[in-house]
Amino acid sequence: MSTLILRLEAAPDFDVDLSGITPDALKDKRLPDIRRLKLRQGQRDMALGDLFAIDGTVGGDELEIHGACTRLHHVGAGMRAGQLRVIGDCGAWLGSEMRGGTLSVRGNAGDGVGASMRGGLIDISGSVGDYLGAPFPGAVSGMKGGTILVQRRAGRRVGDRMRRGLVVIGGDAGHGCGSQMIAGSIVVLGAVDSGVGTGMRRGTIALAQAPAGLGPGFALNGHFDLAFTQLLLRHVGGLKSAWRSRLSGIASVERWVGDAGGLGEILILS
Amino acid sequence: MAGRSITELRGGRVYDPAHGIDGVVQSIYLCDGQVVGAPSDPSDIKVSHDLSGCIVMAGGIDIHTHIGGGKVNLARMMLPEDHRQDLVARGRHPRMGSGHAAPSTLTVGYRYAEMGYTACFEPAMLAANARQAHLEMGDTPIVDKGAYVLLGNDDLMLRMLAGKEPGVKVRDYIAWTLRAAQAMAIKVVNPGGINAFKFNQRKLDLDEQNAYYGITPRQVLLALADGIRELGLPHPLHIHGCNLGVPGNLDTTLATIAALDGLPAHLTHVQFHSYGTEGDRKFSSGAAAVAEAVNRSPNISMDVGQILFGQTVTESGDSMRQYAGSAFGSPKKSVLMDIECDAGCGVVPFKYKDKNFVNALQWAIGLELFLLVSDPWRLFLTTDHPNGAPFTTYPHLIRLLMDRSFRNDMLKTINPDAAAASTLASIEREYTLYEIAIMTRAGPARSLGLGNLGHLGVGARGDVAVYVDHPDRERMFTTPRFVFKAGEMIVRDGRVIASPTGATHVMRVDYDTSIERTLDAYFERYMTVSRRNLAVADGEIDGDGRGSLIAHGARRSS
Ligand SMILES: [Zn+2]
Repeated sequence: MSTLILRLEAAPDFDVDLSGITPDALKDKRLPDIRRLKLRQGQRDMALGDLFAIDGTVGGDELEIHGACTRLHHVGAGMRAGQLRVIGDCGAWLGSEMRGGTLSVRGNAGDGVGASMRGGLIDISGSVGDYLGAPFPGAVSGMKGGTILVQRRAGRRVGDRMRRGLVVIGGDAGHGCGSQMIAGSIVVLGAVDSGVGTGMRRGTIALAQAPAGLGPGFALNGHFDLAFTQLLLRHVGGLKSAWRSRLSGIASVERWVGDAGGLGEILILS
Repeated sequence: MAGRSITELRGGRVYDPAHGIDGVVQSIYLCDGQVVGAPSDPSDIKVSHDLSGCIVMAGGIDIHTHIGGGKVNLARMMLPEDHRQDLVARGRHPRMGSGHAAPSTLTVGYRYAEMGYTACFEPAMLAANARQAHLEMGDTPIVDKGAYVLLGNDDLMLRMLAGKEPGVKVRDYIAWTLRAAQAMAIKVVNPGGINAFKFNQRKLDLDEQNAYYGITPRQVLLALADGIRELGLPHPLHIHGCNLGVPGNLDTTLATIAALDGLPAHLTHVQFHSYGTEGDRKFSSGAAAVAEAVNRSPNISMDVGQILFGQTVTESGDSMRQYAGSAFGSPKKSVLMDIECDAGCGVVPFKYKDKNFVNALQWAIGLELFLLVSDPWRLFLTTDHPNGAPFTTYPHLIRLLMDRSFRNDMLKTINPDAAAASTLASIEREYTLYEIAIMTRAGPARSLGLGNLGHLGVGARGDVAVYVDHPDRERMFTTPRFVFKAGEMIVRDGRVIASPTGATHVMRVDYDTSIERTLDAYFERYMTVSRRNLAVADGEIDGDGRGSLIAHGARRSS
């Protein structure tokens, strides 16, 4: 057992930026140095040890944050390797610009989960806010790689401008799912709100439930039993047992193509 | 005079070129915000700082730095990463801020003060954006500020020139614009070219005609430079010439100097205008030819716009050239816009790389210019912040100029083909502290007609920078021991300890108000606001009790 544990004893009454507090970044540090790590709290700096009781073993590649709350932003941002487990809810920009490793949350997360991420796995047991896998502010594209799994619902604009990677939403997804997608795959097992794939250039959005309607840029391409669909479903089904049963028995897809250049693809699973 | 409270700066080595003082150990006395003579009654000295081993200069003056106006805010909005990666917590500075290439207003003021600078001039304010520029500058603490308003791409000026209006009318328009925009001087950017861009021209050399107005850049330059001389403005026309960044633009620059034919003018960021087309890559240094022309022309002053390696953002009114440059932006994003009938604007992030041939040669060209132009009174130290590099690189730049072995060590690290193509290694000149004080203090103050700034004579404003003498000039200029603003200590050991609000400098010259009839007709027909609404009132700058205005007048009346 070589897990380092950060325990939030009392929820702060201010927002805290946890960028840089990742298993790979803490791996080679000594406990006193970890306690002294500088955090951004509103307009001032503070030390990690001021906020968290820190114990466990240093030197490993596992980190746990217990008692997380929505005041904690940028949790796991920029993470490159290792395991980060969060128990509790998190604020915005969880796993943004992440490059590798596994970040799991037992709870909910705010807006911008996995924004501009490049690799690794984010697995959230609850729901997330808007702009999952979308561009981090200032970036020209959304996620460029990796996998994001959300077991319950996601807010608006899932995968906005994403370039590569896989997003699976176990529950419902809000307005504009896959908006301006450049490439990559999004799977939604619940219901989707309006505006699916608006402005998408390429990429695949697979929907377990038919949307109420699609934008005028999409046209029905036909019903298919694509080898790709079976591979995708087998892969997604392998990620969570609940999803496997949800996806079993799907034989063919209704394929719609659009939006701007006609290369975006919406697959309705049936 | 009982009860005078004098601060004594005792025994520092003083560099005050305005009075020919070159490293003389002497004391400076400050009282009521000003430099005063040695007190007859020593008991008037209430505070005394021992400055033995220190270098004393007037507060620095940056004659060309983009710190306010629409383009700076566009850069801030487009580059959140620039701010995220450079956060300054409250405590480090009196108030929090952020940003490396396009810092927040507060951070700009604090960082300038921390280098010993006490005045900064924004060189590209559009009349239509003047209110925004003054709001931003008003929010920039500590430093005095002022701005140069753009003319020469506005439809009214081109219309006047095309209609062969008399020079006096052009002069009245210049004077009105100065007043309306609360500006310190007149700048022209790519004369007529920004306007030509709107008529789908993608380049405009000195004698090419604007497709719509039939006016050439040469005509615009001469009309403005002549009008400014007639009005008696201390600072001559501030010229960002044609063909910025274009290989071979050296010829345009030489032709521009020749075209001015003795008319006073300031050529800005000349580094970007000193490129030849020799060599395999058709890109070479034109620094020697340009420096020679400047040396020969006492009517010309210039600043360099040195580039230094790293990430920055280019901000310019020159939408024609920024459009061309947007293909090379890094990260790849840009803002290009047309602004009312006045001009345009382009913001393109850029990363200068020392291993890139062109960037490395640009670096060398800038340094060649610094070292080959002989008169520091006509050459000012700038990076055209943030176009060549953020202003925080000035101490590094000063070391490059003052320390030949350091310069040559740096030269060995850049792209070897660029190093070989440059004459830099053979240039032995090392700037002296006296010359640095000219380029960063006395020279800009004289060029702008700032009167009591930029020197340490009796009656000067008590803006003083004190550095601990150190052979590493970068280290020395990065962290002053003390900085005083109007007699108040604002920086101690490189840290801001007080944050007064600096004044806004403006130039006021009389004009015949009948020009306002022409303006009203034009505004009514073409503009989105009225003439009266465009003009910035004094109260908008000094009305909140913090800001203040310092009005300067013409050298002589016309
Ligand atoms: Zn400039």
